[in-house]
Amino acid sequence: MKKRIQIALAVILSVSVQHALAGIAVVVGASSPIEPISKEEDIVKVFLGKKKTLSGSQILPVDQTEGSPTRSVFYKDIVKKTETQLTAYWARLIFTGKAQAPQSVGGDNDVKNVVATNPNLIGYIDEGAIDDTVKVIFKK
Amino acid sequence: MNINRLALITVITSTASMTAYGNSVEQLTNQVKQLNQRLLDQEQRLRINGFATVGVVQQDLEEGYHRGITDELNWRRYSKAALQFTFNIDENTSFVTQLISRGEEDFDTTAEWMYLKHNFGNGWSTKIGRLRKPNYILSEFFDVGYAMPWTQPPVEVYGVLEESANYEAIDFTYDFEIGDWSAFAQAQYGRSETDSSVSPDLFAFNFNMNYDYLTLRAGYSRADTFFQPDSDIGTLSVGVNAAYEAAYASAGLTFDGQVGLNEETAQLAQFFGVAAMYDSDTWLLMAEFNSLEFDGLGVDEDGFYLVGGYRFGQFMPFISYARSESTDDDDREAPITMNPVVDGAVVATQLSFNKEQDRFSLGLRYDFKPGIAFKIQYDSVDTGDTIGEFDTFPSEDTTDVISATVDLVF
Repeated sequence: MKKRIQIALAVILSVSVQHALAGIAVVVGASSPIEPISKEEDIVKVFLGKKKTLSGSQILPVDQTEGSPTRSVFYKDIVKKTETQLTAYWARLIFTGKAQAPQSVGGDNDVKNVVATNPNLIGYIDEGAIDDTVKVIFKK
Repeated sequence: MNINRLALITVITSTASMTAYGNSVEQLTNQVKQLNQRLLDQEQRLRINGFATVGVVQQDLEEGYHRGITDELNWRRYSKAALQFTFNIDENTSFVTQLISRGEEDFDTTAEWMYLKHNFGNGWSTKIGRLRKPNYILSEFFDVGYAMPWTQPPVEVYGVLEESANYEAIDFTYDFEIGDWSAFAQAQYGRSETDSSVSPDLFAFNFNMNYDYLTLRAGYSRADTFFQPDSDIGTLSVGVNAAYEAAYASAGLTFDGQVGLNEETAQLAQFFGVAAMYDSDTWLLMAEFNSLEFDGLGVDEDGFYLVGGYRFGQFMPFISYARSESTDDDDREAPITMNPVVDGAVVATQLSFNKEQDRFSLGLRYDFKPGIAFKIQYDSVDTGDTIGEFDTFPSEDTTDVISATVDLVF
């Protein structure tokens, strides 16, 4: 039984990793005034709390929960920080009252749900999860 | 926020809406939107973060070093825990309190930070309340062991801050961008009072810029400062002042270069510091230099450190060198009278203030999961002929220090 669960887990993990390799889309709600971004650096700055406006609007990044495959790819390929570095980075900002780490809301669907309801929120999802509730402002 | 519940609400309402009329569909959708928004707002309103260090430290000599570290294993000196509450009053105003319990203070809990912050927009913000002096690159997270390589930041540089880290002040910060660099400039004014010293009007300025892996900072602060007469350093200063005054009086002169012991005799203290940090996914390199200059007889001191670490996955071995020394030994030791008894007494006191300390450290940090790190460190400390950072004159010039900590943030 234990073995079967392990196999099932391994299958799920490998499927989700492959799934995540499709690419990352940074998204806002479909009706958000935020315009597409060409500079990857701006995305990094938004998710590291260094940039608080885009296209003249206040923005608030939302994160995916630790362990989500999309999150791993996003931080590895775009932000280029390990989870450990990220934790240390936010500790430095949080304990100086400078900024709070983005709120973790869950996986791709949760991010879509949340950004669709607030034009100031910005999140990232797997490319395969894009639908008409969101507007893609950056893709990698 | 409970996202499952949120998703469930969305599912239920959207299922319900299929059977409803057009305008009630819209109504329900709006309700869901409002509900989502409210849940998100609630989560944003109060945030609780914390950090802790559990550590042990021991050195070779019997004499107390750096506030009580001896040849017996010390479980308290490095151990501490803190909770920080951030209450967001509205989207631009927040109140932050950080409570900390330190082992070396019998785990008594004190408010390390306690301030109101307001963003004016366009990068301008203000803080008022109990703040941390922005003396160093690590000042503001000096207690957060997790955010630094060592088990404890080098006392050669951070020793000055440890004694008087926080004060009551108002701060103005301007965040801006210079090309691809993110920068901020900070100005503070406040009153600092500790068990040993008082600075009634302290001004501090800080400039910091960051690009990618590189951070640079420079800071300057100044304040007329005096020592509390009943503190250790105050008691010594009373003796030094008396000797100088007597010597000058015997020559028919008035001595006005005292160590300040009250607001009228306070002397100008200036503190200057520069630092650079390079933190990539493999290398961590840091360098920091600072200089304290005291008018009158107060001891001037320079300090610096260099540290380099390389990450092999979850392991980061590091090597560090730090040095501090008093820089006005000659001035303070100069004979002031031809009376050998008076001069002898003055020089003897001044010698006890002279300081020189080198530290060579080797350590290993192991991040066994994000948020928890284990560190072990060996230091070889050489204090020359001086007291260095010992609490009393050491019986030998060198000592070895071994320390280990578990640092976490949550």
